[in-house]
Amino acid sequence: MFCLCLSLLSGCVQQEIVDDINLLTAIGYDLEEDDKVIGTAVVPVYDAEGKVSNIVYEAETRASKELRSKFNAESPDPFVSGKLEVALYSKKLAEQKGIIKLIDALERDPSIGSRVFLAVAATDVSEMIEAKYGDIDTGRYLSEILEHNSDRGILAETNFHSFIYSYHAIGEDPFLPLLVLNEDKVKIDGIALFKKDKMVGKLSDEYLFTFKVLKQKFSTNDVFTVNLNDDIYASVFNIKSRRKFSFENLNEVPEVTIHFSITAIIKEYSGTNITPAVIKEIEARMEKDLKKKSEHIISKIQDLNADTLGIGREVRGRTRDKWSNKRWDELYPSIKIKVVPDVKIRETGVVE
Amino acid sequence: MFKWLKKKKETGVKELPDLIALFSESKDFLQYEFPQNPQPFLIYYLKTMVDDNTLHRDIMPYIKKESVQTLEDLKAEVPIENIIITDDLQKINDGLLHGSVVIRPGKGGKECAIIKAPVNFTRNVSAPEVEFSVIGPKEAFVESLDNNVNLIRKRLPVENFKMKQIKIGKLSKTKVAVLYLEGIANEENVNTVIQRLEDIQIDQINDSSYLAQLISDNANSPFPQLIDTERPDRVASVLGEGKVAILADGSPLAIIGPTTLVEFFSAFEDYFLNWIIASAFRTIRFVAVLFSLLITPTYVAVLTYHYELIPKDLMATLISSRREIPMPPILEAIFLELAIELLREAGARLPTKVGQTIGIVGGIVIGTASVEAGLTSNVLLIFVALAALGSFTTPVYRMSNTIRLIRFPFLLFAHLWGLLGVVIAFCFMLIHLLRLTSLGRPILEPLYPLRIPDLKDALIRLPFSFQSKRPVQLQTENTIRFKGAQAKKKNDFDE
Repeated sequence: MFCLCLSLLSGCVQQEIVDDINLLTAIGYDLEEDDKVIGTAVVPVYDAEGKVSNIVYEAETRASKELRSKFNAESPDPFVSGKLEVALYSKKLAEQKGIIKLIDALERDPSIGSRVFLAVAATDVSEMIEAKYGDIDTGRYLSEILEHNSDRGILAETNFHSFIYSYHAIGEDPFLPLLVLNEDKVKIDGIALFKKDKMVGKLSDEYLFTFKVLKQKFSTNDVFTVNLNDDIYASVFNIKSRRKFSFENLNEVPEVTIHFSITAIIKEYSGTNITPAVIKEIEARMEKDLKKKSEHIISKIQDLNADTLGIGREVRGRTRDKWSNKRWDELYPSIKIKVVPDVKIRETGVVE
Repeated sequence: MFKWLKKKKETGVKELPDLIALFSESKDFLQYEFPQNPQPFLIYYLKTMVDDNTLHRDIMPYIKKESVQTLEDLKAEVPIENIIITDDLQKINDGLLHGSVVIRPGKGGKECAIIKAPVNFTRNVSAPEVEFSVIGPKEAFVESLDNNVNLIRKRLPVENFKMKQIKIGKLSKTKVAVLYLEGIANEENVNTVIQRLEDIQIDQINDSSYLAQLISDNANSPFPQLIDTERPDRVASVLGEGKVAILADGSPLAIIGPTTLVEFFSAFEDYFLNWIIASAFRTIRFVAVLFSLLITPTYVAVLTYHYELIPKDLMATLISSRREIPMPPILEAIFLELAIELLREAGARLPTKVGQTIGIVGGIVIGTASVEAGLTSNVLLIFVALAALGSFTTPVYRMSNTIRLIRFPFLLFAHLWGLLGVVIAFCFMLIHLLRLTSLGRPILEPLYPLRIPDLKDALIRLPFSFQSKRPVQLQTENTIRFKGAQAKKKNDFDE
């Protein structure tokens, strides 16, 4: 009886043998005229020696999943999406149509992990996907750029999960990394700021570090350079950053103070000797620099009425049932947000 | 009709001459007469069973003596103990068969003297081969029961060491000994063993493994339920814990029970090593066995159903190794597993030197050739080889066979239902193990039922000072081995 069940039921499971399927690793969406979306997908093909070549498929669609049947029509093996690493959206698409309808397909598919990276392409999406990045599969190349930069670098933490989380959270708007194709390399060019699912503005790459400081607590091995004057500068690394909000006057018009404390180690100094006075100066310079950039970011997101830092969520958490979405939307652009930086240099490196 | 149903007429041996006539049909049966004596004796024996030295040194001279006239005289003179004078044909028969010399007064009379002079061709005690250990005693059981009991008794010079003996087998009449320590071993365990042994109906017992199969709780289980060991030190040690040992004449393996599943994975060498090292090795063994059991089914399941689970860094290696292979993962895996089993079986059946050659031919030629021919992927080849290696780390040979065998149903389940199938197969195995008992004691103990005190010597082995109590599982009559608190103290100074 048991064996009968075993043999009969085994037909109900769909086999997907790993070398007989097309593993989609990156997909890009672009907006054409008359509201058509063009999907570009890349599939790595591994030969017996372990070399990788990438095959690109392109199709026009309205529904994201419809793409798959169109891709299947011109491919020797069936497409599966469980190995998707990166989904790219063109800037045009993100600005004009919004991307949530396309993301919906990813959200519903159980085989897609929540650590997939989403990004906005400032240059042409299909070019970015078709470009050759050496002997590596394109999806993996793109995802690794984003992965190491958000794990240990200057890019604030971002992936499919965090996008969906801030999209659905009340009082928070999502952001995505902005990628550009620079000859044969892809570069993180800044942050695409979203209001709900529509891109409304961008921060250029010089604000990446400051944005990360404002957004989350982290530690990084990336270097931050402080200019003391024209030819003396110091580089600090091994930065640890902690961020805290404090609020005043919560029930009326909240006043927000963002405290962040940073500890770091000096790695490079172009002057002669580091004296305690120099350290003080480096700290002060860094604080000033960070404060200036933070204020720029904050005024920008307030202007765009995009609550990328999630201040609304913090306020809502502190006011509980007095919260109103509508009131916050009106209030947010005009509330006072202060930044209080605190930089400490822990070590000056090993010299002498 | 029905003639064959009727009992055959007994060709019974009623008289001594009948018996002699029956034996005379064998070429090695000898009978002499000594007519020079005033009271001539007749002497019968089986040449192949009697020790020539004893016969010519201790028996013959006395028979020829003038003063020896009757069997009683003979009994008084011959320097061999336990001379029986009887007319019981059965005893005479047994005596002849076991290497005794039967002497009968020539002038008739039914009574005979049975003088024991058996010859024993036994090999010397040698180093254990199956359960070899680098450190520790280098003696293993041999085929002689007395010799084996001697090896154990030397390690347990206590008066409550008991040996019960039963003869089993209509043809082989094998002497089977049940050993235990009275006052320590649970009476119930001893009685279970003895009762099961007495109930055995069989013609021949050629090795103690016959007994292990005949008395095991579930004969249809692939899992062994009694441990067999060739190490007298191991037997002595488990007797001290309160277990029961069974020895059979003519078998170099002792059976010990009741046992637990974890005991199958503990080598006796674990007790010779420092407890930290021993625990680490034991853990490695458990991991190796789980690995060996699950790695090929997981490979098949993941490659057939769950491509999402493959890390992206491994993707290229896995896919390119399978690119040229025409078979689905299941056939590939079964092909390789069967190849390994073939090698093992061929190696086991062949003499050692040829066996080595087979190993090299199999390992190198077949392995690399099948990868180059595109029949199997080299990733799977590594997994299968590692799995085979893992299964051989099991110290008890029987268990390693089981592990290799139950991998095949796992593979089948993995192919049919993916990882879900592997889990289902694992559940079936677990349910089976939960139901399994060894001499009526649960085999999964101390894991289930959970017996925390017994965990001291299960997955890891704690130091000896922690081992002061006997295992709970055995329900021993005296639970305390020694005083644990004092064992911890070391008195280096006289106070």
